[in-house]
Amino acid sequence: MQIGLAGLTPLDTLAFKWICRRLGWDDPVCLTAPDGSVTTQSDCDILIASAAEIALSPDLYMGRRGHIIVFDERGGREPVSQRVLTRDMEEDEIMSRLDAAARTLHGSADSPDTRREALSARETEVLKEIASGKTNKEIADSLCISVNTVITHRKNLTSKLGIRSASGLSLYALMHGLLDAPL
Amino acid sequence: MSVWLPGSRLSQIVMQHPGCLPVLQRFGIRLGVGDMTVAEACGSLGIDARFFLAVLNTYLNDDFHPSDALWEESTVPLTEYLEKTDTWYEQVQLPNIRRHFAPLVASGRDTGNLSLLGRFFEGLKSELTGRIESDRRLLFPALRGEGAGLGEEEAARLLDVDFAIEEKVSDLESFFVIHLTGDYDANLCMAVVSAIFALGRDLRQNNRIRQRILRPLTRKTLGSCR
Repeated sequence: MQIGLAGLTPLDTLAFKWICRRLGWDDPVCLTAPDGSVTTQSDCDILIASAAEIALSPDLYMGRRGHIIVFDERGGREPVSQRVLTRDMEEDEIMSRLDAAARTLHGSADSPDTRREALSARETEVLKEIASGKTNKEIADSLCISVNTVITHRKNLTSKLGIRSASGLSLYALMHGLLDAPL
Repeated sequence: MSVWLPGSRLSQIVMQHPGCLPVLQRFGIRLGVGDMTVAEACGSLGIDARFFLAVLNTYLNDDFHPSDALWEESTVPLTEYLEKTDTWYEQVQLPNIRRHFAPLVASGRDTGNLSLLGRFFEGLKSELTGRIESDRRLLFPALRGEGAGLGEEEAARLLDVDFAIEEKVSDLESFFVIHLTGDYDANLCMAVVSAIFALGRDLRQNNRIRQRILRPLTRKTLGSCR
């Protein structure tokens, strides 16, 4: 699951990075440029944007309504929707809402292969690397991520597919056209 | 957790846990047990009832940990029991899966899915057969003091293979239950899946014996030889 962040402070960005890691997702991508401009043209699964940022440029976010989660930085009041997060919310509550949003997103996918659809782009990349016979260290080097992140992705693959061994994951990749050569 | 005792009736154990039948068979206990207790059955066959119960309770209960002292006296019966287990895999369970797998693959009409699963099974079979061979040739003789040249670390590596095999059986179960696609003969598929689940259950339960009993015994026996 790839999260994009728009209009968040560095501290909030750091907090979401931590939360994404706890959820076993990729580190979030910051879509706010140093000059304050924001690009929503990314391949993020979910975009978390500050309420102020959305109020500032609502047109940018209209086309991605189903993928947007609003981050209300003021806090101090009950969020009006499950797709609103506030700064004073408990971390577990934020994780639960993000997880629910991710499930809804995947649940609405119109594909006969919901299992593979449920894999994030990064998990699919890791799956391909595993299938090519690489070790965790080699995968980490190849994708420029830490070994711990590779391990987290492997745990997610096992959890989503019910497959634990490297040869089983390779077989899954082969069955789903992610590998060219036979095992 | 229910722990079976010398006074427990064999019929009650089997009725509650039919999955323990292979254990009884490996000890030579045949069905038609009447009202016999564990102590009576073991007495009539010359089996140490404490040893039998330690194996049975470890096999049936994930939370059961038998005392180390018992195993130090039971190296020979333990390795004999595990040899019978290996033979059961080699002569009964693996051929049973294979017997149904070939016609199942042939019954698949519109996908290469089943033949890939067949190859995955063959890989698993080779790994399990290799482990059985290592048990027979290296590990068990070393534990009984009949072989030479097997160190504690090498023995530990041989026992690590158990985890890889358990993972692959579990994967094969998942492939059939979650990921199977295409058209196939449902009856043959049921036969293959039932046989794979039977093997997986027995492997997992026996691996408890191998990891909780055989591994510490190996460490103690082969470690002290150096």
